Amino acid sequence: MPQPTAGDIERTRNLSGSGVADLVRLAQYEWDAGGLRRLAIGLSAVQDSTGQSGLQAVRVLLLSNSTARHLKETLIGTGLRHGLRVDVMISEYEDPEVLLGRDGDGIAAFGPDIVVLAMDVHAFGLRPAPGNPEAATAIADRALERLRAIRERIGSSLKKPVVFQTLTPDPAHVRLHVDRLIPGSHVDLVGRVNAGLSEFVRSSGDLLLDVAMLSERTGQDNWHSARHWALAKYPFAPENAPLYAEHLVRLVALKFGKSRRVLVLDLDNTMWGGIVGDDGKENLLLGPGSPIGEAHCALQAMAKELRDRGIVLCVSSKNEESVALDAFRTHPEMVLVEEDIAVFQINWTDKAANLQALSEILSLGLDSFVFLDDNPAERAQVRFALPQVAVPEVPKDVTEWIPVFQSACYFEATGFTAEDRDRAAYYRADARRTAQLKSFARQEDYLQSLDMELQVNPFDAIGRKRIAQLISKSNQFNLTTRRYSEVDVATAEADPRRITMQMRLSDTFGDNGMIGVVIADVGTDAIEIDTWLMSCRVLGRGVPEATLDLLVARARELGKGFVRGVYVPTKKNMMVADHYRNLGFELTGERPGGETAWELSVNAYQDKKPPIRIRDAVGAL
Amino acid sequence: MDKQADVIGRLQAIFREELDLPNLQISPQSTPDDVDGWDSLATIRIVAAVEREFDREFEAAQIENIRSVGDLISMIAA
Repeated sequence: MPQPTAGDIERTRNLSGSGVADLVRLAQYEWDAGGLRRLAIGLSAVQDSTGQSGLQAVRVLLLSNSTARHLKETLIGTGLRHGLRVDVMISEYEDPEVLLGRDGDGIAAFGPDIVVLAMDVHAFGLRPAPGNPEAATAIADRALERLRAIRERIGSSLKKPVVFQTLTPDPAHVRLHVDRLIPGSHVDLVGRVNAGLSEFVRSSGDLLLDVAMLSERTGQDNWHSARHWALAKYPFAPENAPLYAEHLVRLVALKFGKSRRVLVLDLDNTMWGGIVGDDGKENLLLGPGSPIGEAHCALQAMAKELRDRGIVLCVSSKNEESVALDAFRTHPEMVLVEEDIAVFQINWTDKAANLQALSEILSLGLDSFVFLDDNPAERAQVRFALPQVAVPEVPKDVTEWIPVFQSACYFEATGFTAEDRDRAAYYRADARRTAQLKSFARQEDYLQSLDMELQVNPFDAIGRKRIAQLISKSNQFNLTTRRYSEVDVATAEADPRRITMQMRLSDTFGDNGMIGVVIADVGTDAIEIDTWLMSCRVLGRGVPEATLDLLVARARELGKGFVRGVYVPTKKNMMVADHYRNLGFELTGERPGGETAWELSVNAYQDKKPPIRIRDAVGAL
Repeated sequence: MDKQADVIGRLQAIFREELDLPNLQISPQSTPDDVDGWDSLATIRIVAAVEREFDREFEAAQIENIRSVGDLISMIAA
C-alpha cells in the first residue's frame, strides 16, 4: 500500500462532512493505528445505517484472553479499506466459555456475523515438559480440546463462522536451537497445537488467521512487546495492530465474497526487463545472466504459482500486439506460456479502460482485481479511476518486488478446492468467447490530478547526450525515426534556422526525466517538423497536445501561417501513423512506401491546453 | 520557561489527538480525573505518542506511575 502523504494525514484530521467514498479512498493508504482511528471516527460521524453507503455491514465478536479494546477502531478503520462497515463487540481477559454462558443474551442482541477467537499463547499456558513426549501430547490435546469445546459452544448458540488464530511462542519461555529436538519444549508444544488447530479448521470449514506466520514475518522479537504485555497485557506490540487488523479483516471480507481472483500483469519492465517495442525481443532482460533478468523470471514463476491456485492471469500492456505477443510466445526464458493467460490486452488504451473491459469479459467485479505494473503513473491512474482494484506499490528495483507483493497476501482464500485448481483454465475459455474491449475516456480528472509540468528547453550542452540517446533509441513514438549523433545534435543546437526542443515532464510522483525531443526547420511560410519523438512511458498524458500548442505559438511569433510535418513509417512506429490527423492536421500528400505529409493552419488553430503547466525556455528566435 | 511551554504545547497536541478532544486545554496539574477519556489504555497510547514525539523510551515503572500531565513533563525533562 502507498504511504499517506502529509496532505492525506491532514485530511484524516478534518474529516467532518466527508462522505463514505472519501473515507474508503483514504483508507487505501498504509496507516498506523492513529490514522485508522481517525478514519473510524470519521465513519462514525457518517449517519447511514440503511446500507446506502455501499459498505457491507459486518458485526464482529472478538473474544480475547488479553487486552483487545485498543484494536476496535483499528479494525473499523481497516474495514473501510475492504468496503466493510465493521461493528465490533469485544470481550477482554475472559474465558470464552464463561462469557458465552453468562452474556449469551447480550451477544445474541449484538448479532455477530463472525466470531474471532483471539486467543494467544497465554490462554493455554503450554508450560514446557521437556523430554516428555507423553506429556507433550497431553498438553497439546488439552489445548485443542478446549478450542473444540469453545467451537461447539459458539456453534450451538450462534451458528456463525469462527476465526481461529495460530499461536506464536511466548517469548518468556526458553528459546534455543535445541528446542525443536526436545519433545515437550515450549516451541514443540506450540507447533503441536498449531498443527492440530490447522487440521481442525480444515475439517470444520472455519477460518484460520495465521498469527504465527505474521509474527514470523515481522520477527517474533518485534511481534511482542514485553513492556506492553507487562503494562497493559497487549497480546502483541501496538505497532503491529494495523497488520493484524488488515489480515483479520481480509479474512472476514472473504466470508462476504470479497476475494481477489485476477492478477493483471504489465509486460515491459514487469514481466521482462526492457521495452520490447524499442529494445527488441533479443535484448530483453529475462532469465539467468543478470539479476534483473532473474528477478523477472521469478515474478513470472510467482504468477504461475498463483495460477495453479486458481488465480486468473491477464496481460495488459501498452505495446504493438504482434511484437509483444511474439516475445511472449517465443522468448526462450519465458516461464509463463500463452495458455496461462486468460486474456491479453495489448493495445494503446489506458489501463483503467482495459481493466474495466477485462472485468466485463471475465464477468468478475473490479474488486477482485490486482494490477501489477512498474509504472507509477499507470498505477496512480488505475487507483484514481478504479479504487476497487488493488494496486501494489512496488519499489523501483524489480529484485525487491516479490517480498512486497507476497506480504500483501492479495489472493487469500478460505481453502483450496478442485474447482480452484481448474478455474484459471475455464476463465480463459470464457474470455475467448467474449467480445472485444471498447475503450472509454474519463481521463481528464486523472490527468488533472497528476499536476504535470512540462519543462521545455532548447538543445544545450547538458542535454546533448540524452537527446542523442533518445533520438537513437526511440522507435514507437517517433514520426520520422531520423537518427542523429551527438555531433548532429550539437549542430542543430547552433543552427539559427532550426527550432529545437528538449522536454522534461514532472508530475506529482516526481520527475519523468527527458521524455520528448522536437527538431523543426523555419521555412518561408511554415515551421517544418523534422523530428518529433516521445517516450512511450508518458503516453496518454497530453504531451503531444502541449507540444503542438508550443509549436503553433512559435509559428505565430515568427509570423508563419502553417506547421507541417511528415510521417515516415517504420516497422515499429505504427502507433503514430495517425498522430497528425488526430491533432487536427490535413493530409497534403502521400508517397509510395506510406510516407504521408501533413499541414496545420495556424490561423484556424485553437490551443488544446491539456492539463499541463508549461515552463517554456525556448522562446521565439 | 519557554522550554516548558513548548513541551506543554506539544503534549497538548498529543492529548488532543489521542483523546479526540480538539479543544482540550491541559496544564501540568491535569489528571485522568479531569480529562475525558484519559484511562489506563489512553495512557499507553499517549505514552507511545510522546515517545515518538520526543524520541524517548520510558520504563514500565515510570509509565505506571503517571498520575498527571506534570509527571509526563518530568519524565520528558529527566
